[in-house]
Amino acid sequence: MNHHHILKYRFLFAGIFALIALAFLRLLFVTGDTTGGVLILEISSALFFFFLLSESINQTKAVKVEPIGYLLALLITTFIAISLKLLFDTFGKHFIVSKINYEALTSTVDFLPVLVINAVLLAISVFYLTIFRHLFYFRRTKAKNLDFNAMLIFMGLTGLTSILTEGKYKDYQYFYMAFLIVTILLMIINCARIGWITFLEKRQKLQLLVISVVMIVLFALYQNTLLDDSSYQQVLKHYSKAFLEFHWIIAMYGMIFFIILFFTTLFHLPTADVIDKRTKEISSLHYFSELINRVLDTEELSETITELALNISGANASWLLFFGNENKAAGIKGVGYLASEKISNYLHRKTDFTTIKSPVSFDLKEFYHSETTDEKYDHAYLVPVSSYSRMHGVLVLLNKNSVAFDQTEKNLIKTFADYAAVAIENSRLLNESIEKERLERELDVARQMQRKILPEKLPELPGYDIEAVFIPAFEVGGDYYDFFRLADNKVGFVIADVSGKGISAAFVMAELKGVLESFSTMKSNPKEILVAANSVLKKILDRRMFITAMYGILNPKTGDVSLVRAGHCPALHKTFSDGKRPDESEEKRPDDSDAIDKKLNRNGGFEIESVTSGGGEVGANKSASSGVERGPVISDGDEKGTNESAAAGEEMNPKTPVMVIEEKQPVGFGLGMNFTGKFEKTLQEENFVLKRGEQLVMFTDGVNEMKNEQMEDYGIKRLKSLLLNFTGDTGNELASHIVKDLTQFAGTKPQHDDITLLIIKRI
Amino acid sequence: MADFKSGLRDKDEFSIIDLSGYLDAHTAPELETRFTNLIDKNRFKVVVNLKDLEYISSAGLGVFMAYIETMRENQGDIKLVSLKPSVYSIFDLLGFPLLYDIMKDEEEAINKFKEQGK
Repeated sequence: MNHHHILKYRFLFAGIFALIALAFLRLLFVTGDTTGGVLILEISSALFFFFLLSESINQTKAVKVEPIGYLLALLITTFIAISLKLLFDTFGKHFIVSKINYEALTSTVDFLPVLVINAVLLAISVFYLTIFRHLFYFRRTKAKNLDFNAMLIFMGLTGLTSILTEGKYKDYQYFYMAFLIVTILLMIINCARIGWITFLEKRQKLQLLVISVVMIVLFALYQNTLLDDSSYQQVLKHYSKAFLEFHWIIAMYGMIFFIILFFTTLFHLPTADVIDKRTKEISSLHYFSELINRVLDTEELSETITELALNISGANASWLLFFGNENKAAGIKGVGYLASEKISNYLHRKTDFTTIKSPVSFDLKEFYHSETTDEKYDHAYLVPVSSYSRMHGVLVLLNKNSVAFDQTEKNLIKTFADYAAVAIENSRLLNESIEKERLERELDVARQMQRKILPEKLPELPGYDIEAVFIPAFEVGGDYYDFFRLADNKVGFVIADVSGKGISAAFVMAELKGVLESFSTMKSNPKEILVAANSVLKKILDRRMFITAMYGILNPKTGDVSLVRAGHCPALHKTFSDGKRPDESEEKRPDDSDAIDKKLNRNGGFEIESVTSGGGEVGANKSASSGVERGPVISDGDEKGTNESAAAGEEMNPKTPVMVIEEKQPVGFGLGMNFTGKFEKTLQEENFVLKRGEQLVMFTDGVNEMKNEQMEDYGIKRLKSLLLNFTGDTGNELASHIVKDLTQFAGTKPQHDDITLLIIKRI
Repeated sequence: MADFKSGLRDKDEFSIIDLSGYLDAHTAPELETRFTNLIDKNRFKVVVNLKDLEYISSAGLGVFMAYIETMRENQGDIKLVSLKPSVYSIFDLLGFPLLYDIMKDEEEAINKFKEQGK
């Protein structure tokens, strides 16, 4: 900032210094009639002038002005210069007291106004040359310093040698003539360097013509005023003949420049229209290629494409038809919606858009036999918009001209359509990735919610080993488990699965947690808790959503468990076979499914087992109650895996009491499926004792519905045999054993639902 | 993976929807459209034939839950017939048989409708 200011003032100081120096010299060599005196004066004047000029050029280098701006500045300056002259001619005599001659100028009274006039003229000269130089260099990358500088030097020399045209040196005036001719030649050469007019718009070219004519007149006038024998001219001449000559040459340069400019512009005028159009096309394409990389929604993009298409092609109306959007017009320009629809339909009848590989032209005469639009168009031009062999749609252009597009225009439109296709493709991809990111962010929130809803740590219960495993799926699956401290040191536990995924599932989980927490302390048995929860959930749950849940209350002292199941996967109770109470599991079949059992039995196999809780085995082992899987008897007719492991279990510990897995599946449907009294009516409670060394395993369907590469389910049966043959000690070991088996089973198949395991082992 | 397909047949006042393949969150909207169209046409007695249905997810189950109330309020119902054992087990685990008529075949379902109409 500071530096900049100093630079600015340096120019001013230099000017003032130059003036003072000149004034001083002028006073010193008053007579000026000696050759030496004149030479010193003129040469020093010339040196100061060039010093000022180079300062001025350097100072204004950074200023960016269009050529027209420079020309207008020249116009104003010339106007000022002429005005100054006229003013002096009228009022000058009041300032100049004495008769104009060398001697008279010695009086200080006359000296001051003369110096001022000279200073102004000096400034004008500097200004002229600065502008001419900038015009000379406009739109030039290669510097041709020599041409312009040579011209300046010759201009200076012509000025200096002009002294020879008067008085005693007249014999040598051919020097002056020679320099003048060279200067004029150089000026003509330099003036022809006006390539920039080619790139001007037609309107600007017309402006240029007018300015040129005005400037030619002004400069001619000005040049003439410098030559007449007025007092103004006298004053200048007697101050410095060379400078006056130099100033006159500058005015000549101006005149030559504008004469050449005028004719060049005139010759460029016929092609101006074409240049205009090409410039428009190029800038449109350039603008568009920039747009491609910006964020645009499809609508905005369509608008841009059709607008630019009109610019480029000179067509009268345009719109885009995207495929897969029932050919709905987008970005309609220059025509009404109804007309565009009518014409689109007509074109659609004429041709199948998807088969268009290159632009096609249609005569609309036939269309107007039966239809009307506000304005009549002669041609429709269809351009396919496709990228990477993917067709996005067609660009429709309507032309009122009876002549269709020429080849250049067609090529250009085709190129443009290709650009457009890339832009559309980009915007499509961008939208997809934005949507993806939005979903991912939503899932993040849901995952965080789920983490906060699940208990931070497991309850520590003397005599019990409690373990929980939760493996979230990428999409939050809505699994939930929790423990509640109840009265009389009892513990409530729940495992649940909210249908649906993502953030909506997470919200329902949060509600469920609140509901269960409050009812757990208010109600004394699990059935009452779930019944109350179901009626509250009516307000929260969408009709499509439901929650499967299993709620149990454990009395740690006695091992008494009371369990209700609302549509959830069964709990697996690993129990001693001798302690089995058959009446417990026998009762729980609903009447409906008995009929189904019979019907389904013919299919045999694994699926039925889960339907009937071991119904498939009834044939093999009639004595076993349904819902029980016996270690030793499992061998018959089953998969070899279970067979071997069961046998191994027997070999290893023949004397230990036989353990069996009981499926605890009391009747009850999911929460939120029905809000009448039916839920309470059907919900059954199951009571059993968890004895020392026994385990209760609960899980969500993420476990049994885990898929392998063959799309087979992991299944409850596999989990049961795994549990049966598990010989480890702690709940933790069992949990990792199950997780390991699940992982092995799944192989490369990704997990798509949450996996939750709840293990309660009585030590 | 078997694609999901749904078809609609009319048998007198009963509408029969045939489902095949996988009914999950992606394919559920198709079934929803079937139901809303039926409601628009005041056809509330619906039998859904699940003979060729391979799998149903919770989102698929949700579709039945969303529309059964409307059907029942208008003296209709949604009855499910010809379930594969694997599909039945999913319905069963959730307790659907307690709330829905799940029957052997279309004939049985239509007879039940006629019986209920009396």
